[in-house]
Amino acid sequence: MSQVVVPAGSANAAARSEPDVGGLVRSLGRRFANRVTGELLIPAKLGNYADLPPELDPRLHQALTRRGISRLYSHQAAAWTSVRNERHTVVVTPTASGKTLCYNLPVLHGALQDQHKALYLFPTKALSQDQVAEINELNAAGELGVRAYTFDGDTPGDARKAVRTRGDIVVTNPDMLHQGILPHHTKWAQFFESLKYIVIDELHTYRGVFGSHMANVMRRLRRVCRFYGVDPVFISCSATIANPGELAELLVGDTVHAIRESGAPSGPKTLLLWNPPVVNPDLGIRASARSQSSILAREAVKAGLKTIVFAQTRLMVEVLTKYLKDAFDKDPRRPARVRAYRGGYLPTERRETEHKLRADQVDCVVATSALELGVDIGSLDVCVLNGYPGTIAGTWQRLGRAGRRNRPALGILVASSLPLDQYIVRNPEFFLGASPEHARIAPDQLLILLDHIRCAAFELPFSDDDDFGSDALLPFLEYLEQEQVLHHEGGRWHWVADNYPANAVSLRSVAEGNFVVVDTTGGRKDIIAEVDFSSAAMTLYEGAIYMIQARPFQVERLDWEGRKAFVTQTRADYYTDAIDYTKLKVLSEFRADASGAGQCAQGEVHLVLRVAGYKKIRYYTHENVGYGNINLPDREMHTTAVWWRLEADALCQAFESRWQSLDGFLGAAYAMHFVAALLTMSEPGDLGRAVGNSDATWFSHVGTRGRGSAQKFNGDDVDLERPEQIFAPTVFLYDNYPGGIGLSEPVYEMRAQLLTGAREMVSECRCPAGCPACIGPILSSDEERTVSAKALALRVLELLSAPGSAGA
Amino acid sequence: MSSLGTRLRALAQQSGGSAQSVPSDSGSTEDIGTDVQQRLRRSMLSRAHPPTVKATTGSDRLAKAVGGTPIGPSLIRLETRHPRIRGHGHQNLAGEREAAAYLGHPHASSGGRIVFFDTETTGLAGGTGTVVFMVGLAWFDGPDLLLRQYLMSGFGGEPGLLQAVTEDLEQAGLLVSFNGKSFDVTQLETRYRLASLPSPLRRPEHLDLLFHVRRMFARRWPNCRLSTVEPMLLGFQRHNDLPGSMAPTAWLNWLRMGHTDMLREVAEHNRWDLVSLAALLPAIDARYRGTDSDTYCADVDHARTATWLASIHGDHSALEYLQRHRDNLDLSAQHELARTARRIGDWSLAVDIWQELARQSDGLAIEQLAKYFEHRLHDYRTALTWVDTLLTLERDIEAHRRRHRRLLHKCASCSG
Repeated sequence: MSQVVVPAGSANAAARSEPDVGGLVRSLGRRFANRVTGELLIPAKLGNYADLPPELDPRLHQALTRRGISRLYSHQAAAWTSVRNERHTVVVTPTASGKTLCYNLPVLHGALQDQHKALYLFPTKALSQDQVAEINELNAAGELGVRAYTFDGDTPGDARKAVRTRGDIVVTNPDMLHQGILPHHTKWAQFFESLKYIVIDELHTYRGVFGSHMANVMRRLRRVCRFYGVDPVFISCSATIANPGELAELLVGDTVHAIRESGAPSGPKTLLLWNPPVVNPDLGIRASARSQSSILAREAVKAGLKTIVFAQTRLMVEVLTKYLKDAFDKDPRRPARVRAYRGGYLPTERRETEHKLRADQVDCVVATSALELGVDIGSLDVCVLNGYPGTIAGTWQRLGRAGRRNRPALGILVASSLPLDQYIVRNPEFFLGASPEHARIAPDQLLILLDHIRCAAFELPFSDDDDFGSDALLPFLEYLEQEQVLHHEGGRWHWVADNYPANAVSLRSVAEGNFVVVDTTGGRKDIIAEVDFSSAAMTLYEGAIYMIQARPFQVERLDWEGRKAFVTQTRADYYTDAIDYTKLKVLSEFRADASGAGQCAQGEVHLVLRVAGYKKIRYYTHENVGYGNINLPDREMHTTAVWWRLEADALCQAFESRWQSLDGFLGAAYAMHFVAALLTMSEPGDLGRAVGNSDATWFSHVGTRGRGSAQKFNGDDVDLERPEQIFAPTVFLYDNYPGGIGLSEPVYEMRAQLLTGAREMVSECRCPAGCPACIGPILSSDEERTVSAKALALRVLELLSAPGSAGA
Repeated sequence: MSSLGTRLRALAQQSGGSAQSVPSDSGSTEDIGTDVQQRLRRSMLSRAHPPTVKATTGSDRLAKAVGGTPIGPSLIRLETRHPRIRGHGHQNLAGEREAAAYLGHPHASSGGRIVFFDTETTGLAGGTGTVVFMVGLAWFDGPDLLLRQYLMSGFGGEPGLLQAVTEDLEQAGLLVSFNGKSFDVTQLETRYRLASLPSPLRRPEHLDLLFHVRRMFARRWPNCRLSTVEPMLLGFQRHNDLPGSMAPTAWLNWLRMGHTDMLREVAEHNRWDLVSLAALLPAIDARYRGTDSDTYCADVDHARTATWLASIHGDHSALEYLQRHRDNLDLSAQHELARTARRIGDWSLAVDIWQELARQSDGLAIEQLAKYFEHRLHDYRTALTWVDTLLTLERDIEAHRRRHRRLLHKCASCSG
């Protein structure tokens, strides 16, 4: 062997620290200069320490000392003081900054000194189990005798009573609290009577629909606590987001003291934004992110650097692991240098990988976001992100995996061909300069609020003068009385229905009635997936090809009422794409503002979605190989939206024809949709988009015959060029949940930023005429037009932008 | 209806939930009156202080309808007597103390009242939202079974009901229920907890007859519901009984529309439950002790019954029980008898049973015989013949083959 192999022993760790990372950065920069679109250097930060609090219980003091902890980081000490002063506290903690001590210290102290109890809430079961293991290590080190138990769906029936009556710390998840604990709170009376601390870890995960539910579960929890005469202190930990304090206050429903300054040390860090090279300049097609991530990970491991690769899907984890194992684990007799880590693996296997990572026995791990959340895996040198994780906050959380314990580190964000990714790598200043997103929740969203008022009324009767949330409670109670769920007597609202409302409310979605996908291949009856009600019509129609981990299934039968789709495995060489018509009618305009030559407004809309048919599209060639009809009920909803419109006059001057301007609107809408998702920290599916006339007489879609066709809702074509046809094209971005989940508000607030972003995304895309990375896919015939769809979209975006903001 | 209500209903539909706008029954003038009252009350509510509900007038009317007496705000007490001599079905109402003692509650024979206990609730879902609107208690009082029921005519009656039950249970030494341990007590304790009152249900011992019925009949009957048990064990058949599952509807119909008919039937249903409890106690005891005529014993799962007897009253009781039913024992009960005999050292009885079963090619019995001859009598050759027989029946069982090899070895070393 000619290659010098760096032994993976800790003795050599110091010797191979800085030169290697620096060397790798220089080498990459030299060889692939045109792929690096941005670079950021984050200097090292020294640790900021504080003494262990003198009043700390001596047993706990001893336990910490035995575990090698003789002082605290400043944020841990600040959390201690804040919590001991009975203030609700949120601590913003980067990865691996010792966040668990922020809450374990006061909680264990309280358990030892005052028999105080604590409730820990983790978003997942796996994290709960890790947490109990960690507390038990401290317990063992100091012989503390504090009893910490998990309580979740896996807790056996005969153990539950012991958890309820004997647990000092009960570790559970929001779903269990919602369905298993609160509706049975009388069984937990003893626990509640001594409950002093409520810990919410991974606070940043409670955003969107889940966060809105969580805020209401917390309202219910505090209501039950008041019944037992306690007012516990909330301690929460969050990864870096823009508004941890605000989010914590919305979730807790009270003033929360935010500790944002971490005292943990960190080494110098380099971040590279990486765009795969263009392999087909005509179509603007780039090499896959997968191939680039694989190359980068190989380079890093060869340089003797411990590397983590984050992939978006479980499938991609397996593919990348295979590529890297092909490179490094060819000899089966030697211990594996590359390991995969993702959800779906057995806990023991994951524990083993974690252990090997901590013990420096693995050189490279390929993981999904399962490793993003609080799992301790020790120090790593290089982090490769295969694709943009979707949010700035999520990106930093994953990048935080590299560069612990004062060592220099490297992070590389490898862009995929998706619009968000391309936008990020082409606008490095946006990403590198942006603060992380705001996590948004809408606890008073009507349906969510109603669900939880229902659950709360089951738990304890409401009084006439009670509050729940910020809206007036009485109309809700009256509504529930009409639904024969509540009975009003003597100033109190009593539950009288013969059911258990929490079972009908899922915290992870706004609507009940998810569809299950049942695989019936060969007489089987396996449930293989679950699909939200809102996307069922678009993905589970009869004839649809439904993909799971890139394996195609064909939908044979859809039982709409029973919420079931029966599928069989298939080997189709095509996929299917639903053709849907949207009709959007503005019901009321909340506010409006000029937007360049047009107007931007926010308000309430009525939306009708009709899925009329589908196309079969062959892989790779993308040719249409067939059509099918779909017979499904229309989906209607009231929601909120933001819309932009341009008047016919302005359009006349800027475009040769109406169809050209409509083309421009379609392309602009595509770009605006993705930038809006980026700005609001939401998934693109949380927002819907539509282009149509402002009076809802016609709507337009990227049709099968190219662009720019307009239809009435019944599917009839509209001839836009007829002068008497009213023409006021409008882009709608709507909140894709009945009643809205509070996304249209920030979209409106950030309307200027959104247009700037969309213009940058389109203008900086290197494709000649438009591509999926900017204005959406185009047909090859489009490229031969005199004016490209891309140019038309840019023209619309410019018309909508305020003059003077062109260079922003 | 408020605009919020309209919006909520529309949104609920849009999100995939079924729209449940249940129209209240229309037709009778009473309904319309109530509906109007409710609307009025609501509209007044939104402006001023809510008017207090006139629960007492409602109480009076309901009390009259169900044959009870109002004893407090929204609370009615019903008291009836069921003479012992009337019996229940073909079961005598007697010997309850001895029966309770035999069923594992020896203190019942001396101290405290034996209180039969059954509740009616607004649902079976459990949790804090289920209301116990009726509590039925019964105990023997001189020549009668005294039945006392508390019925809430509104939520305002709950504190009074809980208080009354607490007082009635002060003298209770033993509660007797049917499925009360997992349902009635849990539900009622939740109500005490919600009212911040101490529960009176913890102190007395609790005998849940469902456990005994399950032990004796779970493997014999399609289910062990009280309605199944009554004709089988008590020879009692209810007529025009309101099913227990209708109780929630009955109370809600009273609350919402002032209907009293169904609640009267619920009260009657609850009384029959109580009388059946009082009759079941001696009936089950009789099946354990064999003091009844044999007619009703055919169904009993003797094996499980004997196992329980052995655990409470010792092996001799179990043996005596099984011997008494010797002619009716099924296979598992015969094995139980042999096992019990072996435990108390009556090997000849055990061997008798095994040999009889062995004639019917029962593998387990043959195995027991093989063990008996090998370990007890050290007669390896006889043991070996039994294992040979066993292997013709159950060829593939490794334990049998091991035994066979061992015995071959033992035979060889003995003769050699």
